[in-house]
Amino acid sequence: MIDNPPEWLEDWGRQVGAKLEDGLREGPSFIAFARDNGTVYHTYTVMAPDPFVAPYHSLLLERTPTAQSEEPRAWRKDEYPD
Amino acid sequence: MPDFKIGTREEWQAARDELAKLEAEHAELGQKVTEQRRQLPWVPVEKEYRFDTEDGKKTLAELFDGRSQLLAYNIMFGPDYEVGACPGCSNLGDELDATRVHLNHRDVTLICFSRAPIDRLVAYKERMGWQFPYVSTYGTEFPFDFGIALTPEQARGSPR
Repeated sequence: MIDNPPEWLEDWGRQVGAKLEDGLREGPSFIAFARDNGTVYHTYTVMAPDPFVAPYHSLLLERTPTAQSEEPRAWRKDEYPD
Repeated sequence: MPDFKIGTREEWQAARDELAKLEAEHAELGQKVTEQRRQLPWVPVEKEYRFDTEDGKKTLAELFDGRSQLLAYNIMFGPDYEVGACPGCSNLGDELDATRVHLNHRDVTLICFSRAPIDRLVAYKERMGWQFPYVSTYGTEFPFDFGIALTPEQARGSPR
């Protein structure tokens, strides 16, 4: 994937300003902990592409008439091209 | 527009009723998944991590902010990112703030982690207008211990 990236992934690398070999070291994820009697416990981790680790607007978009593009392109809220 | 079919109200209702059966099965399976998730063992965190936050160094226990549950979203924003955090992750970040008051009243503290240094997180948080506590895992073993970032060695061994 990194050696022969699709165009959207190359664009993503430019959006964050990192080489893919560095940029893809980060794992988009939720991680949960509990605290009880002074001890901290790790309880749960979930990593993309699990749909739980997706923006919440994608949940709303599941119930609209038209499917979104298969390509996982995203823009920051102050950088939408249109 | 994609391909679509036009139908009568009666045809819509029949198809909707059929879909409702599948949605009910989906919801039932979802409930089972939630129950099994809650049965995962709790693993004590033995190591003492010290994170850079907007309010100085904090331990993992201190990040709970007095509550008993901590939920953290790990945003892709590595120390090598010269522009800013992953745009998709940033979208999710935008949407977290509105949920915080409701989570906080249910004994859950919601924060975000990233691996870039704290001054870069603070600047990006200001640009995005975020309110949630943003904590840097920079310089800690935390993201590697919990598998939310790859070491360079691990990255070299990962599928390409």
